[in-house]
Parts: sequence; structure tokens; C-alpha cells
Amino acid sequence: MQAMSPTVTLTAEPLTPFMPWSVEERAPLSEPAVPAEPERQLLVELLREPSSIVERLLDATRLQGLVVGSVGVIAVSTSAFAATASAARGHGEDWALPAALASMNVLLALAASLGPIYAASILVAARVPLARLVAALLASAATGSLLLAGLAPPLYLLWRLDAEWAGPLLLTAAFLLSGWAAGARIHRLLSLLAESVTRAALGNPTAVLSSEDAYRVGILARVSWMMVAFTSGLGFWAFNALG
Amino acid sequence: MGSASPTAAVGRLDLIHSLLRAVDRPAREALDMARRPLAATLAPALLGIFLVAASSAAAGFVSSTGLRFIPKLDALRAVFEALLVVVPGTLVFAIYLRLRLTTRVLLAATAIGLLAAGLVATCVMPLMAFLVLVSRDAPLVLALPAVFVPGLALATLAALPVRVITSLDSSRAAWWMSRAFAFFLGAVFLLRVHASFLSL
Repeated sequence: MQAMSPTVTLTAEPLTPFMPWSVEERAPLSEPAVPAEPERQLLVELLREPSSIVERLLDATRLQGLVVGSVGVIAVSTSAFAATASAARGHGEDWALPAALASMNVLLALAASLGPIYAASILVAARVPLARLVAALLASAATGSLLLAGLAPPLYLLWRLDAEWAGPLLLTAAFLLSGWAAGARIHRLLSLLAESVTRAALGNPTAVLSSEDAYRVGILARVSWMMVAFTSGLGFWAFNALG
Repeated sequence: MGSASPTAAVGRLDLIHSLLRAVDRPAREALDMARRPLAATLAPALLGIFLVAASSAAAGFVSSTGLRFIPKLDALRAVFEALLVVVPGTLVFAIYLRLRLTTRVLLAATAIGLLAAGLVATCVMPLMAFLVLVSRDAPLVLALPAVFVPGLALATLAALPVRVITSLDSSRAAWWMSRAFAFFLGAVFLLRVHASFLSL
């Protein structure tokens, strides 16, 4: 009867009332143990922790690791997606060429859009140091390509089932979603980066960007998203990477 | 049941009890499994896969024209295809949407779901045998087990992770994520097996 007293907090999890659950087992669930070690996995950080990516951006010793890791993630994820897409369309024998072309295309597109983005940052008086801009662009593209890779298995199945509608629609949706996520991520990374640099410079850990600064950072983020979308879209068309 | 000593029987009961405990409190057990080595997650998953496969294969022997010699395994294949297609994407999006879950917790939830699916599929086998006995002249009923048993297993497999995800994280994103998980499992399964519905 004590266990059923009204003071006991019920769990979010439904339990069978026919078993003698103790008070501890009825207690609210604890948060799953997120790996607490300082060196968390880059993959998880790319997907869910923009703030720790910004920490890596600001730390000169970890910047190179972030760049190399992001390039690796982009290469592997886009290759996997392109290989799955070409396998789904039934040209099973030549999946290696689309895989190589797609990842090379994304990296080339990022390289080509870097100059205009840097120029835009000078124009709107929000110049980002080049090394940090490269790393931030690569990290956001890596987030997008990880989501793309997560959508590869459904794409394979849907294309196999219905090559007229479901497959092409999901292919388009996958690129739209991944582009949207990468754009949101570059906006977030640039804002967080600007904010933490401002905080460190002012010595005020609660300082926020002024609305003019935030506005110019927003313009820069949109310009960079648009440039990368333009060049990579052009690249997919020109290289015919997806066949 | 005919054991040599009462202690052995008690030990066996404890084993069954500990397995059923995982099904009784999936969220807490998933958290525990995430802390233990990977084998602790694999064991219930393998047991569940075995039970699901065995009962679906047994149900696959039943067809609308009576028993057949080679079991019909389309629906069973569709179950595992759905799992392979949906789980990787769910892992990626659960991390991206910052749910209060880790990869290991989600894998453990899927393993518990497999175990529960195996138990549920085993539990309906007597009913399927009864149906085969009583509906010799009803081809529509006889065509049912081959799709129903794997379908029921998949529904259980979808329901348990949904419960775990929403128990661990009460946010709106978790609600949508868990429903999308269940929806896509069902959608992939239906897309795979709808041809066999047409041929009923």
C-alpha cells in the first residue's frame, strides 16, 4: 500500500499493476548516460551539438581535426547515398562511379563557393577568418550529408517498389531536407561563433549579439547557403553524378 | 515441469522472469542495457528474431488450399526489411532532433521490441492452429496466418520502441519521431506485402 500512496511520483512508463514494483522502479526515468568524456564522437556532435562544434572551431588545435573529419564524413555519406541511389535504379555494376562523382561534386562545390562567401562576408562587414569559415561550411555540409545517408535505405526500397513516383519524390525530398538542415546548421554555427567571439572579447559571458550584428550574420548565412546550394546543384547536373 | 530438483525449477523460473521483466518495463531496461556490453542487447534481439522467424515460418505452412510443404516467407522477409530500412534513419534523426536518447538506448529498445514481438507471435500460434482446424472450408481465413503472424510481430516491434521513446522524452519532437518510426515500419511492410493481399 505504501508504494501506491499518492505521494509516489508515477513514471512516464506504463507498468503492469500485477507485479510488485518498488518505489525505485516507479521513480521517474533518469536521463540516459550521454558519454561524458571530453572527446565525444564527431559524428554525434555534427548531428546534434552545434555548440560543441563551435568550441572546436575556436580551438586552433582541434580545428584541423574538425576539417578532416567533416571531409571524411561528407565523402563517405554522399558516396553511400549515391551508390544506394544508383543500385536502386538497377545499374548495379557501375555504382562506384556515381559514388565517387557525388562526393567529389559536393567537395568541389564547397570549394567553389568559398570565395564568393568570403567576399560576401567582407561586403556585409561580417568577415569570418578563412580557416573558421572553411571548417564551419564543411561541418554544416557534413550534417546535411549524414541526414542524406540516413535516408538512403528508404530511398532504395521506395525506388524498387515504385520507380515512377515514390522513388523520385523521395530522392527530391531527401535533397531538400538535407539542404534545409545544412542551411539551418550554417546559420546556427555562424551565429554561435559570432556570439562566443563577442563574449570572449567583451569578457561578458552573457553578452548577446546586437540586432544589427545578428542581421548581418543572418545575411552571411543565407548567402553561404544559397551559394553552396547553387554550386552543388549545378555540379550534380553537370557531372551527371546520379545518372 | 518434471525438473530433477525444485531449485532447478526455481532457477528456470528466474530466467523466464528476468526475460519477461524486460518486456514489463522496457524503458528502464533499455537504459540498463545501454550501460551493459553489447552482448546484453544482442541476446534478447536474437531470441526475439528466432521466435518471430519460427512462428512466422510455422504460420507460412498454412495456405488457403490447406497445408503446403514449402512455407511462404514473404511477410517475414518484409518484417526484417522494414526493420533494416527504418532503424538506421531513426538513429540518425533521433540524434539530429536532440532527443533524450542515445544510439545504444534506441538499439536496446529495438531489441526489447524484438523479444516482445517473438513472445506475441508465439502466443497467437495456438489460435492459428485452432483456425486451421475449424476453418477447413474457409480459404479466406486460411490465407490469414501467413500475413497476420508476421504483421502482428511487426506491430509489437513498432509499439515497444514507441513506448520507450515517449517514456524517456516527453517532448513534441519525440512524439512525432516515435509515431514516424511506427508509421514507416508499417508502410514499408504494407508496400512489400500488398501483393499477397491482392491474391487472397
